[in-house]
Amino acid sequence: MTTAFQPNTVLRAAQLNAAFATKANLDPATGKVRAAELPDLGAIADEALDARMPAINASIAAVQSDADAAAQAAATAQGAADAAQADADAAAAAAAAALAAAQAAQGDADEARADADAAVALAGAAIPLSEKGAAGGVASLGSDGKVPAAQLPPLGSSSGSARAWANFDGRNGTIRASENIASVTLLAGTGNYRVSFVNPMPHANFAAVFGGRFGDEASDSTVAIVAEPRSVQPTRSASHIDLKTNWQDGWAGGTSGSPIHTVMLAVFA
Amino acid sequence: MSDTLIAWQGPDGLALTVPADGVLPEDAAAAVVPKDAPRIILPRSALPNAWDFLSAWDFDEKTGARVNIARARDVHRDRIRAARAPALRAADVDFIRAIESSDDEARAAVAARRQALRDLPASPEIEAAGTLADLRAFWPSELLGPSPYAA
Repeated sequence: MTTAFQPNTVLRAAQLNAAFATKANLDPATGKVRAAELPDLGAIADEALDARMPAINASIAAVQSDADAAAQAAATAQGAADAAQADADAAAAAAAAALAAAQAAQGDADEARADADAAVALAGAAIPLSEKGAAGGVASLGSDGKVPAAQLPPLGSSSGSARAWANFDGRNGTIRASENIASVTLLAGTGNYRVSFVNPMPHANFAAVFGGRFGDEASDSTVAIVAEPRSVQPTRSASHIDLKTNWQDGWAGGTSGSPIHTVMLAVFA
Repeated sequence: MSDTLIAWQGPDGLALTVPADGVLPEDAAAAVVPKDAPRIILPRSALPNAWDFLSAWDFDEKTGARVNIARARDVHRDRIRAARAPALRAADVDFIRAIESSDDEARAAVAARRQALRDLPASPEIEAAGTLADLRAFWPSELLGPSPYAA
């Protein structure tokens, strides 16, 4: 009988001894145990194996169960890990978005700061309104783009320069050129003028020189008499001087004749 | 050159104040025009285009100034008188020469010319003149010489 051993079948020594104890007859010819007397090792092994199978199966089942549990746990852990990874990814995306927003906000803030700095610099360079046309400040400009006469210092001086002068048309008062002259007034009557100064003379005892021309402005104009009138009092003050010509719009009676087309005046003080 | 003036009523009649460049009309008026004097600030172009008769203007609170035609006639008469003065002096010389030469015809002609010169201010054309143009047109150049109104 051929004993078929299952792979990994282990026979215990006790089983072999028992088998030999009961059947210890050797073949004289060969000195070996007869095959027929050999115990059925396969059966023994099968029995032994059968006897152990429940335990083996139980072990296998236990191992399998442990493995399943471990796998389940691993799966659970994997799920948790995946969820955590997803959360982490979402958190990272949120953080990145927040960072971008913060950087954009920082850019806006930098730009606003630059604008504010520029505005501050501009404001610092601007001239306060209170300093315009004020002592210690700056002169303002009139509607004609020039510094108003009131903001100019007195012209001329006592050293020889005229403090005021004018060249005007005696026919209609048009001022051709002047300095420190506020106005020319054509008074009633013929050839009566009042010339006012922007900045008054330091006193009324100033010296004034006059000149005039009448007749044909283009060709044969003649020297006219210009003087301070005697009949008008006062004829002068620190702020004005009255003039009279014999010829403005008049020859004999003062109401007729060739007009004075040029009256000239210079005042020294 | 300022184009704005202040027309105001002075104690003796119309006065016109012309501000210098850079001087506000209000400032010029404050310095010259009495506080209680009627006044008006206006462009030069709003005034009568008759500066050759400026002494015949009156103050007008609405328009600044207006021409007084009666006074303009007197102004025109004064101009004729002024212009005839040298003509009369010349006639005197001619008259003496006519007497010296016993030229009765010349003396009569000079006498007639002198009388015409004397009569000119009383010419009815002057009193009949209703406008300044009428007055300017009446200027006997053969007696008075060139017209002062010629351009």
